[in-house]
Amino acid sequence: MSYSINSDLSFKDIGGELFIYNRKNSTIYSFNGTGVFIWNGLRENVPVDHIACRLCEEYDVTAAEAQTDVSEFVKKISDNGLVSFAME
Amino acid sequence: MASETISNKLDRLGRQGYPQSASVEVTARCNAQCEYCYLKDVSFKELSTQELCAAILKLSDNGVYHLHCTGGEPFLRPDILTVLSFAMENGILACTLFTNGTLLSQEHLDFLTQHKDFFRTVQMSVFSHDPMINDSYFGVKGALETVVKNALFLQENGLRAIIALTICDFNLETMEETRRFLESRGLSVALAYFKTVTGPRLRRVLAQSNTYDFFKRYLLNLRPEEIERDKQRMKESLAKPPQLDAEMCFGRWNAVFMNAQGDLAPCISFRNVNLGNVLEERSLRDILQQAPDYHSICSIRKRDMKKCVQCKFYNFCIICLGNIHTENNSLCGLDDQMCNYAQALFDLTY
Repeated sequence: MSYSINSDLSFKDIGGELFIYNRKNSTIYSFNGTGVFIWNGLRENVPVDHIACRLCEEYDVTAAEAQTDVSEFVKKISDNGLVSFAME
Repeated sequence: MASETISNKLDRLGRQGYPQSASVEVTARCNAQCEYCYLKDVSFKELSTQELCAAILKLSDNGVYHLHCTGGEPFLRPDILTVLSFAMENGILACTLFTNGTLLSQEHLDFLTQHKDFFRTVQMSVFSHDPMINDSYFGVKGALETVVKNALFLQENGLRAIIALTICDFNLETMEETRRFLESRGLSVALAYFKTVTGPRLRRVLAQSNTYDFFKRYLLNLRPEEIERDKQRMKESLAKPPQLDAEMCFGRWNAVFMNAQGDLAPCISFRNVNLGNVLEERSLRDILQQAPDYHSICSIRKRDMKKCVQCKFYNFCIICLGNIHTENNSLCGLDDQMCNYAQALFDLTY
């Protein structure tokens, strides 16, 4: 699954925390915990499956839990138009 | 662990000294002469281009992403496009622009439309649909025609232009006609009826524009759905037990105000509070966190307003601490405008 980050997004550090701003609809987003981890992976162009593996290594979660976390997160950010995914 | 919502997160960061929006008075000078304006003494040196850019950079580096660019009249500054470009390139992600709308050149208009994703809203001013009345209050010949033309240009090119219709005693009875005039041209209108009062001159000027009678007439001139909405809010607020822990107004921690000299205050209504100057060596966070006034102003809750605690409008009022502080040099006092407005609405509701 390939993906691209919406080009209308700007990033802002506020007090050491990352915020994402969509210039098209003036909406600001921010992630908690694993969301930040997954988002950073996406920004580094890491394949989604690899992000789930990294999540397993970084946090004490099973592969299935990591996969679920990543899938749910990816669906959420995709629904919000932050990232577009294309099935290969 | 429950996820922290975006608003809770921004609020928490605000309390830690990272406001996210800043109202910046880029100049105190203005080409208009609106009587109700709180800015009259402009005999000081405003920030240079370099200083203003340094100030914006400091705000941005401290977390500010939304700029409210105001004046005076921002377009009196010949360097305004340089300053706004600088903001755009240095971490400011959105800008709401407050202008009287009379000085926008084609170059200004083109700049704004080229960056329409950056400029969230451009707000301009009109007082009357009658050019004679409007232009004479403004003190600018041809103001109405120019403002409407510029607002329409921006709107047709994808920007959100809002016309602020400030209601004073002289235009109270014609406000609906003026609204219809503007709306029929496709423009959005925002009614402004509360004013920042600073000292004896404005108290005199606004003597007829803040009274119980003024607000009663104002309410009677609203549209049926608007007055019904206000009455409903009044009824709901009276039905609730007093919300003692309610904070006074929204966004105090999340916003900061800077005047044309770079002096900082919690918001634009605090005309006699100086938390420090943005160009000091200290970080913005340190300036805010180390200012005793900032904490006392931002921490105050409704229960602290001793004169309001026994009032039946306790839940209803959104009290302007800035007006109280500016008038009394302390937070002990009443916001007369709100008192008069609430009483007038109550009398129309019951």
